[in-house]
Amino acid sequence: MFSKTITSVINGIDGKCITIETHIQQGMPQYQIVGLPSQIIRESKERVRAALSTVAMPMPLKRITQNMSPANLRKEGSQLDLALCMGILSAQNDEMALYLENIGIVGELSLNGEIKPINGILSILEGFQRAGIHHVILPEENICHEEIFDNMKLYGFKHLLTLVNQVKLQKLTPSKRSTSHDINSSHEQALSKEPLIDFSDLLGQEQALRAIEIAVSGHHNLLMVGPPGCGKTMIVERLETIMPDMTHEERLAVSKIHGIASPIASDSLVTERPIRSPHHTITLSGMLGGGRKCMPGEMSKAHSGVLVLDELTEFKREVIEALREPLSTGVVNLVKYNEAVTYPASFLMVATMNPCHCGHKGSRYTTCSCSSQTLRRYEARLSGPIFDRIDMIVYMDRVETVNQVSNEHFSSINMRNRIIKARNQFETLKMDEESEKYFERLYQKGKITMRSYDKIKRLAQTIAILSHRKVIVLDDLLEAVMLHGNLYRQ
Amino acid sequence: MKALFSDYCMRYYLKVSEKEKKILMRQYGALDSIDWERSIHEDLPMMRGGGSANLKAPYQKALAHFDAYKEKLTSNGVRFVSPKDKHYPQNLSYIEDAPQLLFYKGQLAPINTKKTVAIIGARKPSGYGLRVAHDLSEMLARHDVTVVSGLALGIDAAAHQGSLKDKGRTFAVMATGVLEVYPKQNALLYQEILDNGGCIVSEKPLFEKAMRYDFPFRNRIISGLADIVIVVEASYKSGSLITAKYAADQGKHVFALPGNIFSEVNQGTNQLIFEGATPLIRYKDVLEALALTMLNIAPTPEIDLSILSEEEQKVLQIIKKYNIIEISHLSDVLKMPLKQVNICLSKLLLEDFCRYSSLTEIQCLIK
Repeated sequence: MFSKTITSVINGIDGKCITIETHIQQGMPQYQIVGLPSQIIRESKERVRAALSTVAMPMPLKRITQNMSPANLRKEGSQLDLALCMGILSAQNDEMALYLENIGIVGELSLNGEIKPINGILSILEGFQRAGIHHVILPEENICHEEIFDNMKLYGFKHLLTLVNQVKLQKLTPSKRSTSHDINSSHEQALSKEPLIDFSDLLGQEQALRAIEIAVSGHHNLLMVGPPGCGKTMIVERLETIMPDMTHEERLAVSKIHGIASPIASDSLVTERPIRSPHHTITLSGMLGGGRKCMPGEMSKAHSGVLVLDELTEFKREVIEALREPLSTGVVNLVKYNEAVTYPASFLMVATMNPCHCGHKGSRYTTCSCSSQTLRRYEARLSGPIFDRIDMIVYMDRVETVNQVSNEHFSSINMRNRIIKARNQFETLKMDEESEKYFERLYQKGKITMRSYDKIKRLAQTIAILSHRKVIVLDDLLEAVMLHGNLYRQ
Repeated sequence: MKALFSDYCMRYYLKVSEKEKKILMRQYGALDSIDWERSIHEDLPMMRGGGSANLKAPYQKALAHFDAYKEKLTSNGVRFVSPKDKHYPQNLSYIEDAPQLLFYKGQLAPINTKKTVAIIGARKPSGYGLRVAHDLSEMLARHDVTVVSGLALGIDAAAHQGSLKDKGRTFAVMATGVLEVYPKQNALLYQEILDNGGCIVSEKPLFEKAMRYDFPFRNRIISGLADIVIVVEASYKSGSLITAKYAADQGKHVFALPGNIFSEVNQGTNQLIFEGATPLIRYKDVLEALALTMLNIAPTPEIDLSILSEEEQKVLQIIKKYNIIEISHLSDVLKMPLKQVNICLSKLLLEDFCRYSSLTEIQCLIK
């Protein structure tokens, strides 16, 4: 008596198809699972046993061995319950085994036979698709919208009993899936909601707003430096009001990561661009990902969105330094049980900090009370390599509320429209002769370094695109140099 | 040499306190006339109440190690003067509490032949103060005036640097030992001072550290050495005000730089003016107070404005008018969008026509 069922485990953000072989023979009643199961899977035995007896098909009193192959891959997750259970049933019923041969099965069982939703369904479905399996039995709550994996047939079930009955009759019918129309309307609903916050709430600080616009348009990492109360946090809180919509691919990628990371089963795609602002006491594995289950961290959760680091200097040193590789490569590489796991982590970094420990160095209104030692220690918190990965540094001071008005030019809706337009027109531009010459001269004068050369050029390109130009002119270059922020530090 | 031995003996072996030192000085008149054989047996034990301590052994030790100490001073280039020496600074000999032994490294001699000005101020000055300290000191150096200061951060360092820019002679009076550079950030400046014929002066011979109270006490030497004392920027509780007080007590001419009444670093100097210090309005006044005439310096070469566009020149004019102006204010005054102002400022900053003076303010660098 032998059967094979197909199911999936998650490795990183990718689903990986595995086969469960079930063998039942005469002998002492015994139930054993082999093939590197984790603790969760070893506990599956009890859930499977209980669920089977609830639906009045108790475990055969024989020697049962289940093997998960490939045997060298470490398996994790409660989604294997259903496949283990169906494996035992089909090992006793050859017709059923034949019927289930090409159907992927995932789902967690409860003791009374209910099928419960699982995490990371998008990754799992993608894994099945890659392996050429187009029929999948899964928990009903995990059925996803029609627009993703439209070539797959999904069979959603709430209870083991209905599943077994349908399989026995060989009459599985694909579940009805909601259409893309439904999603769009729900997204529009979210958009049409009157936003409570807007960039026009700010008085003054045009410099910072301009920098924000450029940062989001051209994906340039931004650092805002200023004394407490100058509006840094207010600005980062309003970032969500200007983020452009995600493309379908981006939504899929983001949804996959969030599906693995969050404990709730996410059956539909994430619609809003992620903006993650972890508290500054976050640990290294919280930021980078990892831990026992090798979950994606805040950097990966901010993929295709924004990672806001408010009070950058208050973060642990190791956490700040860990930003280096993801900021240049766009991925996080982790190691889990001697196996490499790669999570995407391509995000826009927007950070804020005070100019010194007391927060008032260089401010017009208050004198800095730091000792020279404190100043040196504060400056040493950010290493050179981190500064190298920051494209723009904006220096801000508190504004006098008198005669400051909010600027309609920098209202959220106007900024968002300009950003979307610029993103759509994005292309590589050349510098005109005049700016090329001037740039060369600056480099020779030692005003800019080789490292900032490239960053300034990219900034100037975004500025030119925002002004609908097809070539970078001197004005773009000069504004880029100003926003790059090196002039202040010199 | 006797004076050096007395100092050495008191400093390292007999642990003589300031009070005891004063009594000894009153009794013997000068360091080199102290009769140690008598002192260790009679004077010191009496002062310390009963003569329980045996001072003979440390005294013997001091005698034994003295030659090595002298050798150490010479090898480090540290020399010393006492009030009886010919080239002891004359200005110092007039003050109360004049140091009985002054250690120095470099050239001390010009102190008696050239005019000397002390420039002192806050360790965390504004851009305005830094500029005044630097420019004033540079001008004084050009008139062959020695600039004295305390090698602290901020105004002190700017004063030294200004003088050195014209390869001038500048003196640093330390609260630490002559060889101990404090603060460490000024190590380069320390060396430059020596390289340009300047001098490092202290009451302590070697690598001694300074205690809090050493700094204000050191300030009496700064003001004592100078003919004129200029306080550039100081807050209410600044050590510079202590120097100014010494200077007034010593009968020196005190200048103070007038400043913004809202700014903390100008409150002390404004108060000094209120109390009678001369406000520093023109650099020329300082020269006149020294009885020097302003040299006819060749006019600074015409600044080449041709590399600037018309718009940039307009922005520069406004910055020049205000000297220091906030960027957003600049945009209001010019009725120019901030983006355009930024473009112009970027060019002006890159071409060194101006610089940032605070997080959001721009300061003009040309005259």
